[in-house]
Amino acid sequence: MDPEIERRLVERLKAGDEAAFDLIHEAYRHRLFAFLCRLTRNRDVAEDLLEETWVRLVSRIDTLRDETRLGGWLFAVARNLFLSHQRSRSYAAAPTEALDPVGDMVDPGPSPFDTTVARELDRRLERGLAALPASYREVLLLVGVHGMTPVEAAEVCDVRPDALRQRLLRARDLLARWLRSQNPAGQPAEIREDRCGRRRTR
Amino acid sequence: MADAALDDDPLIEHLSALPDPGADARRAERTRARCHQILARRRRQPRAWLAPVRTWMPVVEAAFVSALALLYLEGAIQRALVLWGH
Repeated sequence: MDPEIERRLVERLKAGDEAAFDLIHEAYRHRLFAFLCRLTRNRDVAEDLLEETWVRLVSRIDTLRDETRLGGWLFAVARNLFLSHQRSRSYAAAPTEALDPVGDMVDPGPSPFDTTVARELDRRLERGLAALPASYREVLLLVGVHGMTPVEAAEVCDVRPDALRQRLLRARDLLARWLRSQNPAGQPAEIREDRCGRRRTR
Repeated sequence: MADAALDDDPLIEHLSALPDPGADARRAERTRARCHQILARRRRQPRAWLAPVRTWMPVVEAAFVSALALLYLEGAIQRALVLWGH
């Protein structure tokens, strides 16, 4: 969204304009849901956190400074809510099959074979993302899926851009290793790092 | 360096093409309605009259404290003059 349009929308929202909220909601709700869905690996939790993100926006709109980018702010709130949720529960890994957006897609490819191959790759990528530790998953989601620059993603994650770039490279490497190591039966592997930072796939 | 390495990375490229999981439209509508209610409450609680108060309050406070300080100083000087016999 254009920064100037965004700034005006925030001004209108501060004045309690519901139409401005609707525009922001429509512009970001799908992306935020996709982000939270992949981050939490659970649709219901993602829906709850998404609702809380929007409530935070309208409740705390006065704290938004003029120079703050709305998209980054919303993603940062969503991420912080996820971290709080993760801390508040013993976070059992949900089955990755809970998130299978590919199954509901209309035919995206020119031929059934291409479609099948593309869907299979999408499914493997979704499983690979779900198997990553959350700190790696979030950077791949922000930069890879949602097209943020590393600097923008660093603001969302509240880390230095250099640190985020390093984490992004490690995350990409982990995902590539997972995809290579995945057995043909398609059982998702859990990716972990041991204390020395060596990556293990099991 | 990392940016350049990732720019043309096919894996990152493929991630950007992943289909979005569709959100529940009814839940989205409920959320929208809830946020509209919060915004309506904000509008019903006009806080505009508080803005000038917030602006002037520090000035009034500073003036009040200064006046008290002057009164104290004046009293102290008067007392000193009495003690010195003027």
